[in-house]
Amino acid sequence: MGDYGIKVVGAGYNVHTATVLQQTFNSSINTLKIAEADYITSTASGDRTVTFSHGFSYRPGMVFWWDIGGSGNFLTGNMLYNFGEYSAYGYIYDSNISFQLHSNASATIRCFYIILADPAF
Amino acid sequence: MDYGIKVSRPGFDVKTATPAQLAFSSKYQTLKVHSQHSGEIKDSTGRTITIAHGLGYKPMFVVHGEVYPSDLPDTFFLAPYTEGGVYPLWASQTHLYAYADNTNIYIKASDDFGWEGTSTGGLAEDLSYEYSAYGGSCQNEGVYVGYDDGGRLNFKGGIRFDPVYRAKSASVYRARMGFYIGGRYTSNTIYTNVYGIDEDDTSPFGCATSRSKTSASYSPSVDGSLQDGDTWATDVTNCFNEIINRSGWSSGNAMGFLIENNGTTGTDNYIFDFYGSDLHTLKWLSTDHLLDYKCTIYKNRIDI
Repeated sequence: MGDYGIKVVGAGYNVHTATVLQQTFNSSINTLKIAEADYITSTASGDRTVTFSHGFSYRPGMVFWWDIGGSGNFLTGNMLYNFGEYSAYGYIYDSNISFQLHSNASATIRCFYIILADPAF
Repeated sequence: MDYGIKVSRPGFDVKTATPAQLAFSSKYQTLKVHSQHSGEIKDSTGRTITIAHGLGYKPMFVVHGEVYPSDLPDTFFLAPYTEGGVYPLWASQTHLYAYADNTNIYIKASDDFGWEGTSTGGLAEDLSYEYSAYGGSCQNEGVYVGYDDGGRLNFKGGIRFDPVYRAKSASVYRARMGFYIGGRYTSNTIYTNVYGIDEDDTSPFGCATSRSKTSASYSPSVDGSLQDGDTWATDVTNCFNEIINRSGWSSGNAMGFLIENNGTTGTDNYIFDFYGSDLHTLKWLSTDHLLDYKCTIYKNRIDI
């Protein structure tokens, strides 16, 4: 097979000599492709789990950020916050994505997630 | 209408390639880098980094930290990160986390992060106290700090840490003593003076309060919000450095501190602990630098 493909570089670089890090696109290298971006909201106290189908025939990659009580301060998941007063874990299994949430008192937790078209594993 | 652009990776037919076999598909958004940042997280700047992103909305982002600069240099862990344990993140553990708002990215290293050394105290003969009334009885079954309106009046307390592994004359950037509050009477502010015990190798306590004091001292107070089970932390850097700079100090020796009442009066107002807890702590940092971080901010938004 011949040496062909597509390379795109940013302003100031020569596409013939640019390194991979100087390229904005290279068809020989995969990119993370966002298939879906959305959020879930859950208001309650104690433990709760929000589960929904991801709709893929394989297990896709997933990344999420979350906030507490509508604060607008979005933390990277997964984590416990303030000595375990709040927590959010996200995970993929079979055909579903689940967020396992906890708050000691009633509070709204929002998880903004992106599901990747690329398989997680 | 079914149209768009697909670019497959080498070896795959663009017409049949799965998403993972495509290097690009106009059907999907990609993560687009807005900016990248790196630097140091320091103790003196509140263990926090604030990065203005200028986007006016909450962007997607990732943060990595070199959480073991000595043992694993140039090795960066994804935030949130916590050291050891079953739990992904627990506030009392060493941890690194980050969050975004419409203006900034905030990166935070926990208060437990970066302490090089730690020693505990509180076993038998590690604690001692004396009160000023009734001839100043001095005992070593525990430690009391503050003022007792019930008749014992002013307390002097002593805590001993054994061993303390710090080389002679290797001055530290910061040292901190944590007093475990086994119990507390009332919640008024307690005013103290804190000294080091000016000895090369502090011997087990009978009565600690007769020991010589360092010239270095601090005058911290115990906030009323601290209650049973909490730890009162106070800076002892200059006392620590004065002791390890003594001619007879060597790594592995024991180090002690004295805590005197400094004008606290009124009703019963003191904290105490009995020996056996071993929950008092002495920690130190060699430098202000805690860890290096790297942050990538994307154009993509957290769209809530």
